[in-house]
Amino acid sequence: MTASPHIDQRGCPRCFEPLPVVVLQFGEVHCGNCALDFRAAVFEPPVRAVAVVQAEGSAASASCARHARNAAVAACDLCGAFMCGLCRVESAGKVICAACFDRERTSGEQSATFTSWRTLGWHSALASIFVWPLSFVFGPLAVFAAIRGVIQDRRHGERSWGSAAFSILGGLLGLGFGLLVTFTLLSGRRKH
Amino acid sequence: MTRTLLGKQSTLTRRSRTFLAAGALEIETVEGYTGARRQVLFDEVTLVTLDRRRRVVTLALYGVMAAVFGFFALVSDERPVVVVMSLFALFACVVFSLEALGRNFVTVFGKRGNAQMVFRLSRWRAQKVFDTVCDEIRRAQAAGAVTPRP
Repeated sequence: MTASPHIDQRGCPRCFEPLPVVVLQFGEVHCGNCALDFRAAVFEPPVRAVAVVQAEGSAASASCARHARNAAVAACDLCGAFMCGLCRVESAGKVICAACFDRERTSGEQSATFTSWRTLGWHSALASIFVWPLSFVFGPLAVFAAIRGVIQDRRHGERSWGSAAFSILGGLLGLGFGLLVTFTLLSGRRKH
Repeated sequence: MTRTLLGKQSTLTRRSRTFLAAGALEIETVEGYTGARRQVLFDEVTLVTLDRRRRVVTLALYGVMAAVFGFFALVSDERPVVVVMSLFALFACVVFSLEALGRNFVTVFGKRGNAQMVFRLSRWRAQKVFDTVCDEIRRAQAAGAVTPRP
């Protein structure tokens, strides 16, 4: 994946034209490229150096499983292996070793993509209302997707009851309408 | 993990939501039914901006539409035409007014990516988010110290 050349350069938020830090530090900036006026707050990220402590060599001090000369600073939350400052990875609130991080990444547990159940619930609810022949499919799907969406959002500490309520009600309404129309058509056929 | 929704940005095919999480901004982007999640760490933020934008072409277009429909509503003698033209003129006026108020953008530049949030109507809300994000970044970057090598 190649990053855009503008991504890591400070500049205009509209045209992303790089601007000198001295100009940005004024606070109120005018972009000469696209004529946008904006307010800027400049930050200087700290430079972090990884502290690597050499192992003492005695039996009492634990050394890193991968780097025998480095003293262990933590144990992996998943496999329990000792790790030095170089191997230590913080991921999703856990402190794990590089091997476990790679394993989680390849198995998909670290995947940054997800299915948006909330969106699927919305669209299914609308489809079940406006496309009544398919309401028997989209109605239950809207209800299922709404419930999955609520569970998904709760995992991230969000509340999406309004959206879920619309999806569930819409799905049930569409399903009910589909049943009513189907029943009416079948009744009309029998009479004839 | 609890996070707070800060703002959103939407196009016809893509919707982004930006959350304030522990130590980072989390951006969820949904295209169709697939979402992607990425982070802009506070430790890596280099710039935060706040600006207001107005689309001149949209303003001009809806201004002209409001004038034209309003003119036809005034000069027409037939009631249905007056009603329809008035409704169109009203719609154009509403869109013109919303566009004239502008959209407020808060953009966070990180070393590996950036996050952008759009706020319609509420300049106060955009200002509040700008101040909140800046405070969180200052706190995070002040806590990050240079660790000397032994």
